[in-house]
Amino acid sequence: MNLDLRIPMGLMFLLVGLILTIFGMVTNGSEIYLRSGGTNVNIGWGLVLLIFGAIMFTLGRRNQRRLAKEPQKPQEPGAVRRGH
Amino acid sequence: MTHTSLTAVDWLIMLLYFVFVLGIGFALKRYMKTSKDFFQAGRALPAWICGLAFISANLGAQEVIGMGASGAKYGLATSHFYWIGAIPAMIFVGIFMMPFYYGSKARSVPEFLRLRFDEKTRALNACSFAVMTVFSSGISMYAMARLIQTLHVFDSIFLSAGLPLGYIFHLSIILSAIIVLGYIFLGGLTSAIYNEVLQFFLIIAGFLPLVLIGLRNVGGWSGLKASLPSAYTHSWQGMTHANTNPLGVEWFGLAMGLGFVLSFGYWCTDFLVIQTAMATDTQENARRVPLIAAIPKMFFPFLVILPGLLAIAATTPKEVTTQRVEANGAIVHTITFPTEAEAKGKGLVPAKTDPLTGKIVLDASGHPLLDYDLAIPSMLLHYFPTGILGLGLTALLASFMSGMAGNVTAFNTVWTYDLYQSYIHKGGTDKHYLAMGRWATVGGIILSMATAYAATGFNNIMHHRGPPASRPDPAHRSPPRPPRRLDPRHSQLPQRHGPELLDRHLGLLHQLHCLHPGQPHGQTQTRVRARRPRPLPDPKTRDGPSAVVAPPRSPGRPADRHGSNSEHHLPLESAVFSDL
Repeated sequence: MNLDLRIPMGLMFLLVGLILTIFGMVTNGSEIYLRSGGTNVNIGWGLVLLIFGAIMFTLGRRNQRRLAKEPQKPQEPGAVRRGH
Repeated sequence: MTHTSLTAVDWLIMLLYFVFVLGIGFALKRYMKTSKDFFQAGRALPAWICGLAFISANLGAQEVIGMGASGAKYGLATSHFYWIGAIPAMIFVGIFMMPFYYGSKARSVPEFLRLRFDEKTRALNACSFAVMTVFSSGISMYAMARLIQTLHVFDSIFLSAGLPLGYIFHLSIILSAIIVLGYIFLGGLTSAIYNEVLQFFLIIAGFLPLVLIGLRNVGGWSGLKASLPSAYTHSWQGMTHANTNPLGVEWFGLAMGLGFVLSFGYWCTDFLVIQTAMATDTQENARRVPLIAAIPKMFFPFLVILPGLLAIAATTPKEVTTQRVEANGAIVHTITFPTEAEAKGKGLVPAKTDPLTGKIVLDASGHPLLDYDLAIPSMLLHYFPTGILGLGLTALLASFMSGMAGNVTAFNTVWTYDLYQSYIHKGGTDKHYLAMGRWATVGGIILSMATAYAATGFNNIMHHRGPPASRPDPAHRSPPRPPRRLDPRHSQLPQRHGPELLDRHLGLLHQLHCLHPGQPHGQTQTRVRARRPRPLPDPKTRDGPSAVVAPPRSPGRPADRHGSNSEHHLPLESAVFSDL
């Protein structure tokens, strides 16, 4: 498979982390954080997810670039395979 | 439960997840050239992805909801399902069985049975597995729709769109069917595996903050120990005799029944998990996959069982008055009343309400029965502010959908290779079988939806009257209760769809997790227990695991025991451990 999962997964967590962090910054000090014991979990956890997503995305891209540089394996012949 | 509405941020996160899930399916479409690519992920996936998918395939609703419920009911002893009921079997399947499965080049477990035994063994296993896996998928779908309805989180959107609330159930089923169909149709097993890994990280992302916040709220582990009876926070205490521990088993039954018979029967033979291990690129990697999976599995009790303990240790909701001074100087008092079910519950676990009468269900001594299945959802709604709440709910939905996807891919593989190719159309081209696989996915999803609707018929006779609670029925209207909030800005949601209607449906989940060995049926109400959606063995005795499994086979060759046991145990194991 040429699609490295870390790319879309990293991207998703990056975006989710970004959304949570921005929302957390906007609502800082709001009463909605009474439920979580006063801590702004959106900022905290948003940053954690942002970092995680960024790491995954970078690893995925690095792997993809490394595979792209390697000499391509010869393609399988296009003949149809019968089920065995 | 107090009605929490989702805001735009929560919806955005949920939408983002669904977009990515479908996007991964689309991105993988061009790699699906042969049937091997579609059904077996080309046997080219790296070990770490297969390892995480291995554990994630198992991490369906049963783990996320059921383990939390068991944690709230029985305490830390539930961790035995992990440390005894999973890890040894996973190590065994990795070291000893994967060489057989992978080395035989069999494309599915029934095909392995044909190579090892004969054609009729394959036929029996394939038929029983195909039926069972479609049922599993359907019940996942049903449980997810019911949970969405019970949590009332979609209510605000439906009310603002002017749609009756009864449509939430149908929309959940249809939406989950479309999404799962979409990404499996496009990307096959690879798509299922990739999304399972995504779900794995999402569950950690959704539940870890819950555990941290909950632990801090209760005073850390020592605070938790102080507020719970000691049986809850010890897993081996009182295991010498069945009467002295909450699970109702003794150590030998636990170790042999769960640790040997039941766990091996699931982890070593259920194609739902084995297919992820067989999708990797080399035999060495195939052996590593279950071992890689075992590592996070060891830590998952802290993620799924601990919230259950925290739910039961939290303070029971009481009437709360908050006072706020507005900008114009007005003083606003908001009095929040917990619902009757919440007030009569224990901690954050609400009491069980009868969906037909709306009354709290009482046990023989007059105490209210608790609805443990709502422990984890309750925790999410209680501790998470909007924003991260969207993430937590997405994680919950992801676990259900991922369970469905794994079951549907297992179904389409077994159908195409073991039933269609073997009996209906031999010698077709590879392209033909690839197309068949795609249509089998459609068929599998349709059958799952049929199962989900059949499950509603079994569990709630109200559905015989028409769309669920979409029209007022005087027999079912709940008795007038005090308004939830006196603040006019908070909308009063109709009481028709309160927990009394939907709790009944989650009774299904409760029954299914109660069928774990050794869990006595003491607290299930008879009426719910009498209606089951599928024939499951009824543990009439409370003797523990030995009562639930078949009598042990005579010792034979090791391969014999595993092979011949597999098709016998498959429906049973799947009933107990199947991914919901």
